[in-house]
Amino acid sequence: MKRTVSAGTARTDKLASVLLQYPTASLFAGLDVLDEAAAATPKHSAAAFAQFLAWLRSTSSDQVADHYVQTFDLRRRCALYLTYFRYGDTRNRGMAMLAFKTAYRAAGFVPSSEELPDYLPLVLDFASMEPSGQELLTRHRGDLELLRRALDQRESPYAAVIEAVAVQLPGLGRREVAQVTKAWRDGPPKEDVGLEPFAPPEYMQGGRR
Amino acid sequence: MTQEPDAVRSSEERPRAHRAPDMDPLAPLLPMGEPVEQLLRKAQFFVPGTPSADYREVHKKGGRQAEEFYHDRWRHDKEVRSTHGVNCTGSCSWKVYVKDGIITWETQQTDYPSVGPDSPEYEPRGCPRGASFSWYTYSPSRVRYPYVRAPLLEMWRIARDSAKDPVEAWAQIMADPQKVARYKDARGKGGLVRSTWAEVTELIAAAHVHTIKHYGPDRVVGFSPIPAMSQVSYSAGTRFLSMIGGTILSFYDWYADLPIASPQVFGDQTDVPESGDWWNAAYLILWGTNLPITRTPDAHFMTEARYKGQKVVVVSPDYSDHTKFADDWLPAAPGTDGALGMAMGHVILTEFFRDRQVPYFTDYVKSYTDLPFLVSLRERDDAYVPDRFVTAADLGDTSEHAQHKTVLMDAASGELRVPNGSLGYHFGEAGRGKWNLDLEDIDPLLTLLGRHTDAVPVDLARFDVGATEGGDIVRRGVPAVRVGDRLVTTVFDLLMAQYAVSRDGLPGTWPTGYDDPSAYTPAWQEAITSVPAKTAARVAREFARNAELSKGRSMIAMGGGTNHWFHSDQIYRTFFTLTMLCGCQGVNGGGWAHYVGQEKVRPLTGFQQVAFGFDWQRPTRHMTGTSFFYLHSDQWRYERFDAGELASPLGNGTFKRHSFADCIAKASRMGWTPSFPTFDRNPLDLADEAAAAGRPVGDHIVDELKAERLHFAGEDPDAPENFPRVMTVWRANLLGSSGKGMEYFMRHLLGVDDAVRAQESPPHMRPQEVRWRDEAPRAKIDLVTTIDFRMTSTCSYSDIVLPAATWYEKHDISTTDMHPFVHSFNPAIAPPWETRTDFEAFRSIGEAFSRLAADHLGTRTDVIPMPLLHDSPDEMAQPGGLALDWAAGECDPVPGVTMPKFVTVERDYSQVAAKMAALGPLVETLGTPQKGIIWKPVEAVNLLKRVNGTVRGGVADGRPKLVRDIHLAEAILALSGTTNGQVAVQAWKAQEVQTGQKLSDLAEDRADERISFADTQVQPRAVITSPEWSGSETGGRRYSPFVVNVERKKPWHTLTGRMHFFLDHDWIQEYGESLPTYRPPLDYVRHFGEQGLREDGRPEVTVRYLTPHSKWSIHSEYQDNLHMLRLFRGGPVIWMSPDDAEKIGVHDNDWIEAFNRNGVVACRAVVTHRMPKGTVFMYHAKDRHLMVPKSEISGWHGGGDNSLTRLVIKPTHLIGGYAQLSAGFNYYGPTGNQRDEITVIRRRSQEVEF
Repeated sequence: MKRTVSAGTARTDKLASVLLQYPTASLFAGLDVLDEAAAATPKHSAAAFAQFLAWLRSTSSDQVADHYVQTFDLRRRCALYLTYFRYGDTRNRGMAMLAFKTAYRAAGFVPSSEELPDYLPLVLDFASMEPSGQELLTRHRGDLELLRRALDQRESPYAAVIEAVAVQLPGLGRREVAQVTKAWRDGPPKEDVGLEPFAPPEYMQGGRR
Repeated sequence: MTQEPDAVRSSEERPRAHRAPDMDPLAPLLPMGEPVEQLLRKAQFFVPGTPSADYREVHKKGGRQAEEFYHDRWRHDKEVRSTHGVNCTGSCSWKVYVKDGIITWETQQTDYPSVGPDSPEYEPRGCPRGASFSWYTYSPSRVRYPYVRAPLLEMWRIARDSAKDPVEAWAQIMADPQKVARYKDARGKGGLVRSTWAEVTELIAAAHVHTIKHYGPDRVVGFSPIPAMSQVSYSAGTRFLSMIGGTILSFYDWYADLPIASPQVFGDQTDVPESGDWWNAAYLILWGTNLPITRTPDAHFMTEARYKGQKVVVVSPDYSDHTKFADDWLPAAPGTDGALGMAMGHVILTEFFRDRQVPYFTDYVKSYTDLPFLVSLRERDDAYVPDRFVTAADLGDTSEHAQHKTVLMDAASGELRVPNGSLGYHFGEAGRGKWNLDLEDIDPLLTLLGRHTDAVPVDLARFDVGATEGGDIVRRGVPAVRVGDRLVTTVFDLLMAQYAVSRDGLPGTWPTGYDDPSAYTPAWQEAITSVPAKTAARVAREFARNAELSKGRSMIAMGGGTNHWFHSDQIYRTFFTLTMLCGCQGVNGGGWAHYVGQEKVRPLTGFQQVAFGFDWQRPTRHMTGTSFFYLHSDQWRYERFDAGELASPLGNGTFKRHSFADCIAKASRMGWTPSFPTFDRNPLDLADEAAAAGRPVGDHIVDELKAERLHFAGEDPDAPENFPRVMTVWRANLLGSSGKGMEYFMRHLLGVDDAVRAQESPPHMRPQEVRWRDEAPRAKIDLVTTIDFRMTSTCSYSDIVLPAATWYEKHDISTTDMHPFVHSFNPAIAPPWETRTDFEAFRSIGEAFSRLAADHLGTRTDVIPMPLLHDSPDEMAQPGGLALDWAAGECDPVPGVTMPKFVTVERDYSQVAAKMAALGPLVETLGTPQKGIIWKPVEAVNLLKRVNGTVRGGVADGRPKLVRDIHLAEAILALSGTTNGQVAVQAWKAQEVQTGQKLSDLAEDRADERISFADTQVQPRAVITSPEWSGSETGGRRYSPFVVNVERKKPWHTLTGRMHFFLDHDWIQEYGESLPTYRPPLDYVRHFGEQGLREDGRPEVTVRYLTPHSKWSIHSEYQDNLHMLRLFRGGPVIWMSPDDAEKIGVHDNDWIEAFNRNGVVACRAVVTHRMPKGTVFMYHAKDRHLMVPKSEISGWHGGGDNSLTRLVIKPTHLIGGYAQLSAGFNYYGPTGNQRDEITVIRRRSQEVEF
């Protein structure tokens, strides 16, 4: 029997996927529908969504758009691209993105070519339909946490949307917590291919100079 | 076991494989063998594994995990050839790896055509900057959507709803000053929101249409630099601007990369050897160019040539990366290179021309330089000064162009002769076939000494002494003879006087020897440059002696370090003296090699046709970037000295009380230099008025000017009707990188916060002819659009940001000075998100524009005031280089003679997009002009019709299509001689008619060859020898400039047709620069006073401020690449010497602030012995959003490298209308130099806020 995504999780991920995209006029026109959809998600998620939707309702669309661009388009730490947090602007990121693309194909979907395969709203859309999408999210649980923290630090209401998704996922393991702590402190990793010959090994290891 | 020390040593020396050290020395006949314990324990002749099903193979598993890394790395499903624009001069070909539609990484291509035997190959080329480019593609910092500043978009949508059409909507916003102020105030303060291409292109188009209608097409401005390294992307925008009559700004002079001495001396913008030719040099001086850093992919030729015995001399103030390669390091103080050059010239003239004559040198300078030509002497006080070249007209010749035929004396007969090849033979019918360097029976006389009738004192200017920049006078002497009523001498005799090489029997004061500390001896330069006199003399001697023995294979590679100064033209002329005297120009392995801002568009003719829309209408509005920005960012309002300050004491006082802005106004109205926007009236209206009155438009304009109803815009740049209104920037970071005087741009052009600390000029310093308005305008520009893939400083101050495709996402072509190959850009992936190629972006804008223009503009006549152009008969308009100003009543205003030409162009504005998308008919009907020749490429156009297909119906019916980027590339390649052998032969034949010399054989061996775009995708392709350039690649030869001139007697494009030591234009003489000389860096301390803040307990140091290129940025990437930033300190830094740091209590990595009247920089200090005392570096082009803290002094984010710089105009760069000193796009114009600048530095609070 084919595994399925639970209805509550599916609703949560789908709603988050919609909310995390660039705001449109329809988004504001459909605020009531969004409220309903939020209410239909599991309890903790519903509360988080409600918080976000309250902000959306009380804020002019221009301000939301401005906030969105300032947050997601111009700030690396708030990027909506999941592999960025772990791989930064390194060569490995291309391969990491391929893993997403492969997962979509394995599940029988052709992903949109308008966005990168690790674009969070796209991943959430997939996760609302496919358990393998849940696995992808779980695997990037730590990256979601980094995104949530970055949004939180900027006091962005969008932090609540990430929160709503995160509560439906398993908690962070000790190793993941350590990774998040380190990544939060150091930022995305740097490219290290080709740097070895710059100094003799004893120097690179901090030995005698 | 005990051994003697000797035994220990000998046992160690014995090969260990054959015997154990403690074995009996008698056992060596047996092999060592494996220990028997091991033999007994395991299989000796078998290796275990798993058999395959058919038992043909046995497989082993494991043990190769280490290879996984490589397996992963090489897992890709396609490789695409591409490269990096925009101004990366490397033009390296790269392989881009793509897996499942995602770019994973890139490596260097290794398939360059071989350069042949006896030389190292080009490949592999590439540098770390290029190797780390692919991160841009997917980085979250990429510009992915079209953005508009929120207040503007909001107003636009409201206006768009209420107005009847988009143009009305834009007019509505423009009519409301409050609305305008609201969105202009938002610049640089965030607030960008996403829009769509459809919406923004309509907005942009509406602004264009409104501006053209209301103010004129010349108020629409575009800026994009360095076309060579993505010619299609550049052309896309300039083609649009050319169709609508917009102003296209130059970049080469604006970047101060144009070596303006090259047009002055060679009559050629810049033509230099490819890097492979460094290998052929036997003596190489690197003078102001840091090859391993700024020419990384090619520096290997320099290091390899050293193994062949090449000597490398480095002249550099700091212990830089290339100093490491030097056999001799001459650490000349910054900006004093001209002094070293003068002293070296002194040595060479003394030892190789006076004390001993070298036949190779003497023959060379007689044939290829102006040294034997006669110059008249003018009496001044009790001596003479050099005046003008003697021309055939002076001898009573009244034939065609006699005023531009220069005269020399025949050595044998002593007769005055008018040899072939001067400008007077270039364009006229009578001169046909005689524009060549064939001396026929003439043996030019180099010096009059010994034949002279008079030995007269000559006064010359010198600038190393004196109270002002104008310097002082030194008296020397020359031999002279009388021609008619005047005394004349030769350029050679003047040069000997200028370089202070004494000869018996001549009056004047002369140095007694090399150790005499008077100008221009080696001892004299030592006090200025700090290079030991003996070293300077030795290097000069070696340079010349090497050239003598190798027939000219001595080379000087020069660059930004010597070319970014106010007086760089003089610095370079002292270098050219060395290469020209020693017969190095036009010789493989010799001559000048200028490597700054390379922009050799090898397929030049085709490029010019499509880029500037010459296929549909001619001409286009080419404007000098420096004068434009100087006037419109109002930097002219902050002057503290004027043009008179710099004039020679021997001058006539022409510039007395003349500001630099006055000089621009003068040069504009005299037809010397372009001036767009031109008048305080819409040029479309001017044409209408003339038509209504039924008069030629030129007459109408002259009358209006005379009646003072019409004025030049440059005479009142602060009048709202004269502002540039709409500006589009693509492929450029104008504000973050090239904007000298960045803070003035902020204040006046954009109207945002700025850190300008200077006061405006006091009343007595203000211009005479340019109107001073008490209140300087702010935010002149109505709409700034930037097309880029990075959120640069320019983007962050723009009203609209459009997302561009990167270099791995489009088709384009690339060429460079550095190598002779054409190769391509190709999309590894389609442009992601909403990004578009520049070609697509301008196509969209052009289509939106045409739609709106159909109603609002229709068909109009535009009148373009054109300056007198180089390589056309215009350059004979003002004989003798007399500066006659019609406005001052010195002559009549005659269009095309004493003022600009007025050319009308009919524009059907509704057809702009249709014309952009097809190759127009003028290519064959008028032909393609290039460097003074013209040919009609009918066959090439027919070929293009087949290659690109033809348009059906409409204005371009039957014409070759240009609807895709590849079509544009094909047109460029097909119409150029360098890439189409048939065209090359055709062009050479046209040149043969002019010169009467056999030339077409240079291309005949490749006459059937055409380099198509598909060819460039396969492999970089070597170009064909063509008259578009002066060198030869024939027979696989390395490219060196002027080889054709030297070997085929083709003249240089100058007055004499030879390389010039002497310049006789009025303004040049006024500045005392008729001959090469040393002019020190501008004395800003004197002009602007102390700029320190002098706060108690805050020590400060004033230092020379230089902005060279770094190894972590530019050219394929600006300094915002995280990989590159991580290789050094990340944020902005200033490099300073331990001495200077100590004075202000700064340790390495401390936060400091550098400031002067122009602005403030807050950054960290790098304290290093590399730097000489008194000089600091701040590397060029680090964007100001990268780790730039707030400044204590200004309170704003503490600036970029150009926050401390400002433009200064050198009036001699504005000259025109006279032979090689005539206008040309990126050929002649004021340089945006910045190295004379000084700054004050102090330590700041170590707590910084971002």
